[in-house]
Amino acid sequence: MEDVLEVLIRSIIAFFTMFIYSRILGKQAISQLTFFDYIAGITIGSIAATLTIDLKNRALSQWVGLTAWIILVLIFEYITAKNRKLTKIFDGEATVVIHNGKILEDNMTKMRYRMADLLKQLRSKGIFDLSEVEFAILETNGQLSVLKKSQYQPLTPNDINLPTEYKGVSVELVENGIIMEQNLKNLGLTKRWLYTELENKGVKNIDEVVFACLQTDGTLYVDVKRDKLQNPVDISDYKGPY
Amino acid sequence: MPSKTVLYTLVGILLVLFVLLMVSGTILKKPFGKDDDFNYHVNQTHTAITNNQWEQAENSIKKTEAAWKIVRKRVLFSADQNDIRQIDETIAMLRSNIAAHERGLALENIAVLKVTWESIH
Repeated sequence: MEDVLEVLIRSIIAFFTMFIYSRILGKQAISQLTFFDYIAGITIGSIAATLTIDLKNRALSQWVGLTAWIILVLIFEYITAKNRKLTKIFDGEATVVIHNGKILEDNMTKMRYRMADLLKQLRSKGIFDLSEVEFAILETNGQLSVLKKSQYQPLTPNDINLPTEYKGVSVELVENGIIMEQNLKNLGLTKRWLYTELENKGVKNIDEVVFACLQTDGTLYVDVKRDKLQNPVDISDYKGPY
Repeated sequence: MPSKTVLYTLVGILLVLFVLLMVSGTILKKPFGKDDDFNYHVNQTHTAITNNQWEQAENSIKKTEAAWKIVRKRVLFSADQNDIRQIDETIAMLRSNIAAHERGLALENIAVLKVTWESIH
């Protein structure tokens, strides 16, 4: 019973410590992590797990270990953000694997990057023909950046001098019946304006609104709880019970 | 929404609280009364064994065990579990040493008990 209580207290400490530390470490997405970041992440997680269930060692020593790893990662992140030369040493450099349509075998060998890997990553980008590729660069996080030859690139409005309108970001105003007052204030709008707009769209009660946002063209997008579908599409091929 | 200062202060307090909880053993192993004065009872047992006062030693080891039971709960979280088990086992061995009047072994276990006690914090 004593062990259970100890594990419980250690779990609370490890959980909140990890929560705080992960917030301190920042918003780097998983896909942006370098191999070293990935390894550091696994190690930090492993120390937190040990802190929780390894009762043979003092909680403090394991907690200090966890904190030390976080501080070291933070220092590395700071250095790599400030010093370009050190960034190259810590994170490595992107490597060109296709140059002007030619595969650079030497670079691929240096990176221990196989032909099968290259083809797989090209396929995942919708490229099934190698001749379409002008440049391919293997990034430090293992992802492949590809520049297609100009004749295979999609046509953009700019190519045919077609004028386009500004398209910004829509702003969320209501979620599950709750009005985002801060967003309304930032846009210089009032609750009265929102209620009027909702009424115009046939919504009498704010609780009916699941989601509402102001689109960049100034119109309000509203989704209500009752969808009133005439012929709902059922994609399931299984009756149930669940 | 709490301000940034309040948020950072709360996070700081929480982390300090965790550290205090993890080093609480240093304070909590100290006696709050006579019954939980583990160090005193170990010394009493030591003196009794040295003087071959076996009845007195038996009495003292019982008091040592009782004191340990109280302190054990307080240091359980911060201390190394191996140290806690070591003290449990050493007290058990000391009890049998005293019952068998084995002076050498008893003194050896007293020394182990004192060293392990020092490492608890």
